Amino acid sequence: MATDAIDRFRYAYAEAIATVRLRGRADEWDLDDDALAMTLQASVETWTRSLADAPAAQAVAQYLDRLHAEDLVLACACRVGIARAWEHFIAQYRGMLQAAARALVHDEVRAGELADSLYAELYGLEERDGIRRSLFSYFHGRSSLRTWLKSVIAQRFVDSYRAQQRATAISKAAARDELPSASAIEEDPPEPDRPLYIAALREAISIALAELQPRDRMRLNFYHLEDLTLKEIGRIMNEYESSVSRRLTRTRTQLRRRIEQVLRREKRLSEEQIRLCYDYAVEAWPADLSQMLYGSSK
Amino acid sequence: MTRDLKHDRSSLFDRIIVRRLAAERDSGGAQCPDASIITAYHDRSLGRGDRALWERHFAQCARCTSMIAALARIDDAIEPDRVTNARAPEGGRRGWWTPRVAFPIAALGAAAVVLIAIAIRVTTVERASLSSEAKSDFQAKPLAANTLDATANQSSPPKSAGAGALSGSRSLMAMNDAARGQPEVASAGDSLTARAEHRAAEAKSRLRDQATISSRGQVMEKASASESDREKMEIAAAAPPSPPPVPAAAAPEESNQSFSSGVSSAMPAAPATASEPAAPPVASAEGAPALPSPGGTGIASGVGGRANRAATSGSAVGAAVTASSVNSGTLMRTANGVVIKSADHSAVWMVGRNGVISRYNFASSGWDPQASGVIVDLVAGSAPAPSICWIVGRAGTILRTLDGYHWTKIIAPVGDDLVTVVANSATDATITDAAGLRFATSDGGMTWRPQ
Repeated sequence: MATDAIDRFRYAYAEAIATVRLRGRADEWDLDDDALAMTLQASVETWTRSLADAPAAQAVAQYLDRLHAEDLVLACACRVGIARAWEHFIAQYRGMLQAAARALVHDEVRAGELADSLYAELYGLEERDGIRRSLFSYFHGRSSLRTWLKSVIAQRFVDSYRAQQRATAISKAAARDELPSASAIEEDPPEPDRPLYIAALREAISIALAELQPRDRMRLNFYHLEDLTLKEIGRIMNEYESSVSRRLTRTRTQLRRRIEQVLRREKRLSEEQIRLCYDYAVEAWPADLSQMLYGSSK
Repeated sequence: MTRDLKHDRSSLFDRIIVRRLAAERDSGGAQCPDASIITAYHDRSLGRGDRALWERHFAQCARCTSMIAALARIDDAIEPDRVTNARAPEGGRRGWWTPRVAFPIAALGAAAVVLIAIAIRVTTVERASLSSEAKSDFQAKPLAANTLDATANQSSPPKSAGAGALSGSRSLMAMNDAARGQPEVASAGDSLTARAEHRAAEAKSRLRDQATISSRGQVMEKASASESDREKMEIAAAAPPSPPPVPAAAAPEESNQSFSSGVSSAMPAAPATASEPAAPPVASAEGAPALPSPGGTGIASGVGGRANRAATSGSAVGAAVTASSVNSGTLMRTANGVVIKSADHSAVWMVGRNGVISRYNFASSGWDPQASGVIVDLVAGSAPAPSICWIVGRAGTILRTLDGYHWTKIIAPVGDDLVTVVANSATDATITDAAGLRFATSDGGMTWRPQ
């Protein structure tokens, strides 16, 4: 059945497949037609899944024409186990992968581990039903191989390292959320309104954060939680560093103004009471949460 | 690591905000896009709408934020010198374009525009007065090269400075003398220059008015034996860069108007007989449509009678040069291309094969090439103002300039060869294609209506 589908695909898009083969220099790797056809068919299927309607034949041909042919052919050759292709890939991308891993994990040993784990997955050390399962199966040529590798290694880092850190952070945060109130009640002089002040501030902050523009909130997240530099944030947001700085300041001012406005108007707190809110909150939340989330990864 | 000290994360307020920021984010899940979307967002290859859509998710999602941050760190490590400043900031054009910066810049720009406009106007006035001075000087003083004294193809005073115009006249005199084998007369030009400048300073406006009326009304009214020489010279001046060979007319009569303004800038105004047309009434100085020649060729304003006689006489020169009138601007076809001049005749262009456009430089009495951006043959034009000109050509080519120098292509309603254009302004124009179909626009070519 699958063979029939591939045959139909090859017959329907023979010219486009031949063009990809030529542009991708498939002959350099002695890549057979079946493997290339399967790769292209998988790419088309992934693409069509994201569309509302099935594309016309011409659209499919144009899609095939826009693929990064050389990268896709190399990935396909690596996936099927052609040694020369794999050697070429290592020579071409090893340095970049190592640098990327070091950028994420500020530790040479752990960076090496991260990169090595990726090589193994790309090569396809794992087998299932006698078929090597290579990470290259998920590369469809819509972006360049370099871009795809960056996203893969970033995803690996986020999913494994972050999850590991976050599990620790959540448990600590949960405990901390509980403790301050209790400890405050136990240790400090009785302040019946203290929890109310903390709750009022928490609510005011939630309201103010919810009213932020998405980009403003992203900037705060990148700066305070992801610990990115202004330059890195500027690159993501397509802004100048000075603009990032100015907007962070403006957002911060806007947040504070809105928080105090909520506390003043809706909670009917006086200036003195608002100051108390902050004092109680910082006692209740003493640590910088970003440290809790990422710990020694920085 | 570049940090801004203003954003001290250890401050009380920041610590509170960070705590809530982290607590209120989603950990990520089914609504997260796949890696290709995040990569496309990071590479800025997502469409604007998709970017805004996903940013609403990213602002709330810890996992996606971490992915994007990871990509940013990777890029910073792998490509640290990638240009980050040559970007247009997003978000409603923020960045340097703040009112505090924009208003002073806009004010300076407006002031600069006003000053430039005043300077152009002053220069135009000076050239007009100086050219009329030059003409009157030539009239007053008989010179060896007096054969140049007719014609005013020049139908209006050119823009060139007086000195430039007079130096142009000297070169024309030299050409004429050379054509007749006579030595160049140079001394007259020098004294004329000084006198012209002096008179121009004393009576600018009066002379300008006279020049406007007299130059438009005159056309080579004086018959002279050197008509053919003058014709040669005029045509040569109309052809950049080297003058084409002009066949000697067996019986040179009056020629058609060749207006090459640079030449005629040095040409003396016709004598008092200018008001005594030897031909059928010519067009008024206001540029009313000129009389058509018996041969069916449109004649430029101000030349009617002489051009009629020329067409009738069938002179070789006349055959080589045809002129047609338009409501705004004047169009003349020469051996080397089509010459277009503005309604006030202060701007002159030549267009021709392979997208060639040249503009006459009154100061240097030469043709300055201009970049058309096309390579097709350009066949006609219309210039309602000195800074506005429309040109049409083959394969639906329409070009327009709004400053007299820089050309932009306008999308035509048809891809056929275009043969004429009549423009009344920068926005109003009518084109005609080879099949005779006419289209008009009133919005500068954004839309066209069949006529």
